[in-house]
Amino acid sequence: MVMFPKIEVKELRVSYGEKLVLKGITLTIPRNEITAIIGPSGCGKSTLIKALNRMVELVPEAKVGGQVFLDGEDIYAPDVDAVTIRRRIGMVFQKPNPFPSSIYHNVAFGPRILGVNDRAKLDDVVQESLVRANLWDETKDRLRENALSLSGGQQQRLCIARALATNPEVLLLDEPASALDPISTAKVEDLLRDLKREVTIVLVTHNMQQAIRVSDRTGFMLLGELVEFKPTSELFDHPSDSRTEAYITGKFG
Amino acid sequence: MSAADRHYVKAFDEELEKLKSSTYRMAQIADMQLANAMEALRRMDRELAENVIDADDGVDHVEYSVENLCVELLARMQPLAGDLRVITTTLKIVTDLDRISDYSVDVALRVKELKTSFPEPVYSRLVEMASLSREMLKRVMQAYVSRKLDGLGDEITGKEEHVDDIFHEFVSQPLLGFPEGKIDHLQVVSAVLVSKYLERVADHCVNIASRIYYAVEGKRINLNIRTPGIVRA
Repeated sequence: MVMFPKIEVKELRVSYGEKLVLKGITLTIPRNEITAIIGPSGCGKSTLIKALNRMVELVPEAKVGGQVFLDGEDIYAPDVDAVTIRRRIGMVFQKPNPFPSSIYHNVAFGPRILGVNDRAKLDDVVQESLVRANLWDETKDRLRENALSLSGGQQQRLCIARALATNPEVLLLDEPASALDPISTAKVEDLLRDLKREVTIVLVTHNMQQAIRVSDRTGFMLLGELVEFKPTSELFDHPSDSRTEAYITGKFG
Repeated sequence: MSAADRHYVKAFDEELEKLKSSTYRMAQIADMQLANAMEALRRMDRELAENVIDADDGVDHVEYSVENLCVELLARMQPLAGDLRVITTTLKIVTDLDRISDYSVDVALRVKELKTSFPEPVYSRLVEMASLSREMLKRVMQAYVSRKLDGLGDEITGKEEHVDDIFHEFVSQPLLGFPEGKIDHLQVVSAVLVSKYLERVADHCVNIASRIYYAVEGKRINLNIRTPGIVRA
């Protein structure tokens, strides 16, 4: 049993039009841990994490049922502002997507939107975020340069810095390293291990070795259902469900 | 192999089969070593004893090739769950098999030192220990290849108890079976040593059984029994 989970998901159902994509997911995400979600293409794992910060509402014809609690509060309650939720629960996507503007502007964007206008304060936030994303040393002398001049791995860390700039409590990452080379991947994974001391992290990944390397808990999804959810070392050593075993060992099952 | 057991990567299935058959082959060699060592002991056949000693190099060779294959599979295929357990337990099992062959060499070395064979009442008890140990080896390797347990634990612990009982007898009554009168110390000590080697062979078979439980079910169980009164020399 997870005591005081950061996020609690109860019977979450998501459909796109007539198609039911999530069939009633229930799980608890512990705070200050890295939770990985694995599963074959089309299992619903990206839909699940998008549902955790209401990004799923941006998908046309998406309907959401069930509940998602953040620190005990239902984020889908009618009086809850989605933008506030997305500030508290940040997201980083598979393909690095920095804005086509300066490195500084990318990171300062979020805080500016939230009303931080004082130059000195913005400078501090930008520096702190880039430090937390392990990117400060590589960018401190080129903050005015266009973000697109950075390498793929640096761009992804910039996107993480951008997400961190609004001081989120949770970070959702949808295959954050799948477009990166091995060294950049290692840097992102190191970064996540450092960040979890302050932030709760949920990570969707195709890469099982990555899930084993960085996550504390792993959930296996198949056809819109959560088949199994347990400590990572247990799931990968002796899964309880034969479907999990078949997937992680690469069998027809 | 059922469809559900096949990997998407066909080469992985082929390599796992190769691993299985190489390890089984190593067990067959270890079994033959033990049979030959006991036969050498019966006939006081120093030439056969020498063959057992020389053949140990071949056993080491098979052990290295199985180990290399395991390491290769770990690096290339990055196996998980049941596959990972099979490969890591195979690494441990070949060590047990190597030790079993080493004990056969130890028996053969005794043959080279002895001047006369053991009296029948002594030899027959040693043969009983060797037969039980060989049955245990055959049984565990059957389970290793089939990946089915089918009451393996009970069968193995039952036989191990029997081997332990005979070993206990050798340790607590070393002169049992030797003619009364002048004691041939070399013979008596050698008999106790051989009983110890055979007891260790049985122990290694129990280890292999425990490892197979882990490989098949992912559970750690300890099949080693400590019977009160047994002296673990």
